[in-house]
Amino acid sequence: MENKEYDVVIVGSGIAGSIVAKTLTQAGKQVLLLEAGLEAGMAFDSEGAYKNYQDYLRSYYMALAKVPNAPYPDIKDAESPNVLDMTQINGKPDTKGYFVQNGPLPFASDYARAAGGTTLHWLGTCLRMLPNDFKMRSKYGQAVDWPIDYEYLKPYYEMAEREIGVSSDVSEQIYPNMGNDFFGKDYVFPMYKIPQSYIDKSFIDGIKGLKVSLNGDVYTPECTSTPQGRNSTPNEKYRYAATVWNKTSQKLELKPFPKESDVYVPVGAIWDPYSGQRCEGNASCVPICPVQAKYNALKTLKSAKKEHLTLLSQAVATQIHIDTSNGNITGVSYKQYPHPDSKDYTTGTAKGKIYVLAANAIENAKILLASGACKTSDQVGRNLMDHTVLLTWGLMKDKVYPFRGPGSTTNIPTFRDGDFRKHHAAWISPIDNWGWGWPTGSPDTDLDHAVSTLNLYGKDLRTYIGDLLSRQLLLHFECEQLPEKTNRVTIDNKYLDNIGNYRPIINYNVADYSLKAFKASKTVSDQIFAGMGVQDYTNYPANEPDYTTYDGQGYVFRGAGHVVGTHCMGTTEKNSVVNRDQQAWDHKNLYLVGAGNMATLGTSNPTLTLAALSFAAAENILKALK
Amino acid sequence: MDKTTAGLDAFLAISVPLTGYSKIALVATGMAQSYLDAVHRVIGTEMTDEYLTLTARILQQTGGKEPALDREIRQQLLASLKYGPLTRNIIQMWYWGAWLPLPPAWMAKYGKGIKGNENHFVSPEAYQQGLIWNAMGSHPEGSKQPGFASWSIAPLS
Amino acid sequence: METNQLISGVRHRLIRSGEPTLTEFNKITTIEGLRSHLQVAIELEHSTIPPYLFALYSIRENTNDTSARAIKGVVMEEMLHMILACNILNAVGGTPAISHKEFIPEYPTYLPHSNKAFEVNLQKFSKPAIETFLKIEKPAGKDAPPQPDRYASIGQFYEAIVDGLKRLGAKGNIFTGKRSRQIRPEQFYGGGGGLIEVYDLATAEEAISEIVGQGEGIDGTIEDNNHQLFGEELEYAHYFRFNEIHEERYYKPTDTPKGGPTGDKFPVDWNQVHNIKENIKMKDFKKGTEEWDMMYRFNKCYCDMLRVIHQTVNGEREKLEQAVMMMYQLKYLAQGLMNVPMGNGLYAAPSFEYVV
Ligand SMILES: Cc1cc2nc3c(=O)[nH]c(=O)nc-3n(C[C@H](O)[C@H](O)[C@H](O)COP(=O)(O)OP(=O)(O)OC[C@H]3O[C@@H](n4cnc5c(N)ncnc54)[C@H](O)[C@@H]3O)c2cc1C
Ligand code: SF4
Repeated sequence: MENKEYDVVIVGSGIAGSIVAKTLTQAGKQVLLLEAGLEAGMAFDSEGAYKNYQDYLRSYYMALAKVPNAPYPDIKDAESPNVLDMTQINGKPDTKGYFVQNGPLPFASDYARAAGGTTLHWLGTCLRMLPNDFKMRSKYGQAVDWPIDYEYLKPYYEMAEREIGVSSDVSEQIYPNMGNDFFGKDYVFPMYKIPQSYIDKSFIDGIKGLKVSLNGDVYTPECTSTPQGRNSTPNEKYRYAATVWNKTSQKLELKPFPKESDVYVPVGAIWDPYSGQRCEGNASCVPICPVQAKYNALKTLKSAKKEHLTLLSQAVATQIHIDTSNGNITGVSYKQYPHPDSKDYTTGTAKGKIYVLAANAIENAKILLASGACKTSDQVGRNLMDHTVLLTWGLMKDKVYPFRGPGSTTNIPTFRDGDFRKHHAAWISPIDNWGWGWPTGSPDTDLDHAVSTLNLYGKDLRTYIGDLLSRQLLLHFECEQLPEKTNRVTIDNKYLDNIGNYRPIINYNVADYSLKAFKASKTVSDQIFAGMGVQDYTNYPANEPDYTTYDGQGYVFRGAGHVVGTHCMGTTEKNSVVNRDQQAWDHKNLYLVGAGNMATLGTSNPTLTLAALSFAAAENILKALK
Repeated sequence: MDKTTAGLDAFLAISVPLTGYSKIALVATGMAQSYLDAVHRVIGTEMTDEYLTLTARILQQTGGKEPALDREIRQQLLASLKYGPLTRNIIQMWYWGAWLPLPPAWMAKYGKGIKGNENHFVSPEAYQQGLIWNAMGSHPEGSKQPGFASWSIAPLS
Repeated sequence: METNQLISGVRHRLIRSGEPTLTEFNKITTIEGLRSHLQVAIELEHSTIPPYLFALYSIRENTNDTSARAIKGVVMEEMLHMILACNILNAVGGTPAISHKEFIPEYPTYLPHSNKAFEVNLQKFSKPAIETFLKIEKPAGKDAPPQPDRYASIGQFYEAIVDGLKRLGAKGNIFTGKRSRQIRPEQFYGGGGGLIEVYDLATAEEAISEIVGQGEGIDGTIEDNNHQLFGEELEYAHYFRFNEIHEERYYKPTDTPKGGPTGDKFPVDWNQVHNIKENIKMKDFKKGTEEWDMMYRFNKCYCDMLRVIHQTVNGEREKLEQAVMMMYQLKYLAQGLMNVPMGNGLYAAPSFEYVV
């Protein structure tokens, strides 16, 4: 390993790293990929892959709290944050979990350090950002503009939608201020939309014609089907076979199918191409899709060109080395651990012409900070963002049978953009499909209440459960956070992990811009519930970890798992860490990929955008390699 | 009939009124023996036998008929400081697949030296066989998936 | 249901193998003859599904994954074949019939190409069961004497259909069925091979080669083939997939059909199987008992599924979603049954009987 020089060394096998690895190897480049997670997770032969995944599944079944990281190995030598570790922060940093939470509010999202990364437990919602999301400064006087715009990203969005396998119907995708060429003429997604759930249909019927007032304006909340990275019925009009590097034009291109009769074939499980060719309605997308109908990055990694790819697992990148004469990176050091919890490890340095950090926004920032890299702008680790999620819940009049089908198949895009963004955050409202699980821990908490407090048993219990749980509605309001210099990741020698690597220290708060959106979205929720006759059960207990107040009113928010913004893209080396090519301003042969590059967040879940950006980065790297 | 099946039969017999499910529905989960084993494991043979003797007597004396059965289940089982928590645990085990910790007061009085009282799923299968999912017209999250597009129509009754 | 003498007679001959035969059957000369052949094809493809499912269900959860996956793959392809046959029949203006009483064979039963050589039982996953599956999937081969009064193999049977399609097609357009009755490729998933929309001779032939190719291996010649048949990327014929289970070894790329598999060990645990009653019937239980009721519920779901598939292939293709839901439900009902004791250490199981 020490001696070989690769074309490119990539750190991290999440969707960002896997897309770059796949694109580069297919273009003939030699790639080394370092992955912190366990070797078992990298099995691609069908027996090994199946067995490992069944282990994940068994852990999930046995876990009392089925949180996002429940199925995945808890590795001491490459820890992952866990939402169960969150507590209120009272003056002192909370060091209970992997994060050192400095507060004032705890950062509420996690990620998975395992082969395939966080897409193992993502939900799979795949929305593009809106044109105005890239122009927050010039449009609304908030935050910054990106150095690129929607038009720039559009072709890469199409590549990302192919790679992930997005299911959606273009005709239903209508968003505020989307412009008239948002998808391009005749564009279709690889697969038709995922059928909307029964609960959504009741909701859509219930909300029909309802008008809501906000800040003196009147809105009609619209419901649209949500584009998703899970397998559905292929759209026969979809015409693209693959994303390929065109040497002549020095561009990545979507290559059409060779034959007219060819159709898109949904990508099944990594152990069996026929498993998961359709979403089967397991309803456990977060944290694990048992049949792998939901996209995860292992699917991309599996389709990389094997002969050109070297995988090194249980290898935690710790530092990049800088040639001080020209700023170039000369190697990545890593620690390789023999067992998940061992104190000992071996070290190595990987060498390539170009280096790519794809370890997730927080881990990327950590590696850069540990290396003293990208210092010019003083922006590394700053501008940490997430969607702050306000939940509201109640009982529908009729039985709507939640817990069937994917986590969310419909959303209300009405408040994703508008002039109100001058004053408060925009949001998107997915309709959830998993009862009150998120806010109250249902269904078992409801069961316990029925048995222990209501003293029900037998047929009465059965009827009660049948009535209560089948009527549970959950809405959520994912409010945009703006980049703030003080929301940041830092490191300190005081806080090291099992093998002496830095733990992320997080300073985090929610600014008024988002708090105002809590108030605004709660007003909207109240009107929706009243208008539909939903019995409102929402409450925000003051002892929840992310309890906060605004304008005399208490709110509890949750994390969305959208870890964004720690090495933002910008227009100059003074205001940002990477340029529009996702190349580090300070180090010409260093590319950063992932949601860390995003300058602002918008209201779409970030992964489709970061996947599109990763294709763009791969193209830039191929150009640079010649 | 040997002793173990006798225990299992008695356990199933009382589980029917406790859960509101027919005997065959309970048998079909394939979990009866593991739940009984879980009870055994935590509270020991003596108390298990005592409990099942009591439940058998209740069923026999009431002939399994309402309203007498309800009165006896409530008075002798649910209201009992000793058997109430245990009965609630059995019900929840059938519905959710997990053993709930018996409360500290119960432990202090009846559970000296008892091990394994922590909250835990009896087995991966126990989670998947929980009756709660059927009761709400659904299926366990992550198991017994109903198939593509099934979620867009009402469940099969 | 309208009764068609020819169809039921032929079915009887093919499924139960032993009826007086119709000599003119070998050569298809009328459109009606063609349609009844295709109806038989549908029944033929369906008839192996219950025994395969029975064995598949009997495997304990989370054990024998590789075998379970192999059997499941074969079942999915039998379903595909059944739908392909429906598409061809619809294309030539016929109406597939798949929800009547006689559609479901009574097990044990003979299969057509076996020439009454062996019976097919509803049997749990076991060596003898796999041996039966091997017999089902092993075609007669080249030297099998063509019988004057019946087809020696499924391959010959489908050859007769192709021949008939060509002969009748030469006289005028026979593809008069509505396109809207076709089940489309994107509607089928979960198994190798693809669904083909049938609207002319070429697509009909393509559909037939899909059926014959998967079931019987290349050209029906299992033991004398020079092509490389095995390797990671190849879809094996059903026979070979079962043979891997039987021999508890994988094929490797250099293996020949004659020599059998010599690759890595194929993990099979014959003990991780529910001890369920062979060829079980509802009448093994007293009517009105909870057990009988459960047996009934399985059969009801099975028959309802056939009814919905019947509608699906008769112009209501959007019904397929419901059929899918029932197909999944079947498995869960079967799993429940297999926990129900019958005495002697035996357990109940799905009986695949016709009920209303
Ligand atoms: C519960 C939840 C639901 C979500 N749902 C959605 C959704 O619906 N839609 C959406 O768009 N997004 C969603 N997300 C966000 C989405 O999962 C992430 O944006 C995305 O997976 C990030 O991809 P990545 O490749 O940048 O990072 P990751 O997937 O986190 O991958 C990073 C990889 O790097 C490895 N690594 C880390 N540190 C090191 C190191 N030092 N050395 C070597 N390797 C290292 C990790 O093991 C991992 O494999 C969700 C997130 C969560 C938590
Ligand atoms: S609903 Fe189920 S099958 Fe579909 S993506 Fe989610 S977990 Fe996978």
